[in-house]
Amino acid sequence: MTITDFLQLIIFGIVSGAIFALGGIGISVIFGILRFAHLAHGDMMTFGAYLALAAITSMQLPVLAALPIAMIGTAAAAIALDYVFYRRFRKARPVVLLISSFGIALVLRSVVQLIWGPGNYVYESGISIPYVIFDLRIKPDHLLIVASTIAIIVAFHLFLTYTRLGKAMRAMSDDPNLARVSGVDTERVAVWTWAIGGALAAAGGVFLALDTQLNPLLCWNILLPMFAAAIVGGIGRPYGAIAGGLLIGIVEELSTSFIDPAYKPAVAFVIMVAVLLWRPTGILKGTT
Amino acid sequence: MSDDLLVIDNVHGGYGGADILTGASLRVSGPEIVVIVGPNGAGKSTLMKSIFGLVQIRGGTISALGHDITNKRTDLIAKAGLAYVPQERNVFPSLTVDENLDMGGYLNSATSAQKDRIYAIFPQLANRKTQRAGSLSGGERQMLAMGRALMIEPKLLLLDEPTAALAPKLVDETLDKIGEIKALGVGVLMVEQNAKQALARADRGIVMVMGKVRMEDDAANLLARPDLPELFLGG
Repeated sequence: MTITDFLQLIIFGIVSGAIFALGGIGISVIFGILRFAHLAHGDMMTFGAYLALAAITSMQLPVLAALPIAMIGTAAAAIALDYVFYRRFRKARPVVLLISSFGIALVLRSVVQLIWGPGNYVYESGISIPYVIFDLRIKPDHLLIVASTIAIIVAFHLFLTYTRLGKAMRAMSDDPNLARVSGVDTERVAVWTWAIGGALAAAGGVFLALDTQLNPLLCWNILLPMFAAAIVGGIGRPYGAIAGGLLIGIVEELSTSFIDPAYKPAVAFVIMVAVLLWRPTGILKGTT
Repeated sequence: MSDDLLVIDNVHGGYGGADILTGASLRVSGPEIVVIVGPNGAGKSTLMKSIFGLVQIRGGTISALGHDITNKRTDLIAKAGLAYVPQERNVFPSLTVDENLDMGGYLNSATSAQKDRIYAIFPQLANRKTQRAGSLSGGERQMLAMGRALMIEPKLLLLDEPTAALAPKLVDETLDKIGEIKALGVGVLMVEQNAKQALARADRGIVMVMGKVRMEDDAANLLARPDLPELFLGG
């Protein structure tokens, strides 16, 4: 492998790492605050990707303009799912929620298939010419994915650090009872958790669709590396999910020069096991 | 009656099947320090949790500052003007000291002037504003837990064993701070294992045994009783 090949794979790794991070943050925050593994997260991302498709085809919007529409729409859908469904299981055991969220995953997938059918779609057809810098090919789409992800993550960071609600979310992730004792209305925080998880999920879904093509299994297929990213980073710690996402994205891409790309999900798990042997609660100490 | 901060009337309750509290009644009136002592398993901590809606109350009533708070939602009880420092897990470990105070002032949107007031009471914390609460020493953590609770400017502060697991030197220091808190016009109801040291600074003492209040008296009178150790052990 030449240095150029190596750097090229790093670039691909950063792109998939950004997508894993956007999904992983939601998985991690939902686990930290609502205390269950949300198996419908991949399908929530796919749903967001299709919402963007609807905006692009119906209004002839560019992808970047369809992105906020998809994020808001998916946030609303996540709040609605919570209202009619997850809210009723607030006091249930985590395993009940885990299995229920698998049911929701199937429901979301069926909705997508019902509306858009089982076929493949792309946002924009045609060939995009990559930029060439020092023999490295950088696709304009990849630039858009990485730049938008950075902007979204910075906004999310500012929200968590400086807003009253952001601090309440971190506090509730640390200790829900102490948050209640401090006067936090935890139901309100739960609703915002779904809104933010849903919005970030839509962004991840749109970016994966932009990089590949839409189909009803789009993000279900990356659910395992996204969970690995959240766990590697320390479950419940959104910053950990960013680090975990990038680590898994980059190592997965590098592995393709040694082993068959079909083994990518296995690579994600090898990384997860290796990190957990070194730090059993993840890179940042995760929620227990 | 109007200056009653807290009235607990014949409360029954517990976690799962059996009741731990079996008819507990007590009253806190105005800015005074009331210390609850008693043997392990008497239901002292359970009583504190039941006041804050963290334990199911199956009989009796609790009212605070003129509101009925029996089995109310915990965040609404905080809104009524009560603050509570649990014995364990009483700070947000991943938040900084300053952010912990922000969370204490969540309901009244804490200003930096309010935080400065807390830092004036607990000067050790002022040097550690940006440090994560999880990395504080036991004594500092207890100070932060009390500071967080005071941010809401409560009328009544509940403290569950504030000196548990502290070094002997820090026990006196912490109890002195609680005296300062009372001087701010805050009523304090606390559970305490260091009975003598706590009663020496308290206005009234309550002996709890088997989920009930066995005895209630001025702290000085309780302290003077030769049979205090037996009372404490539930004899």
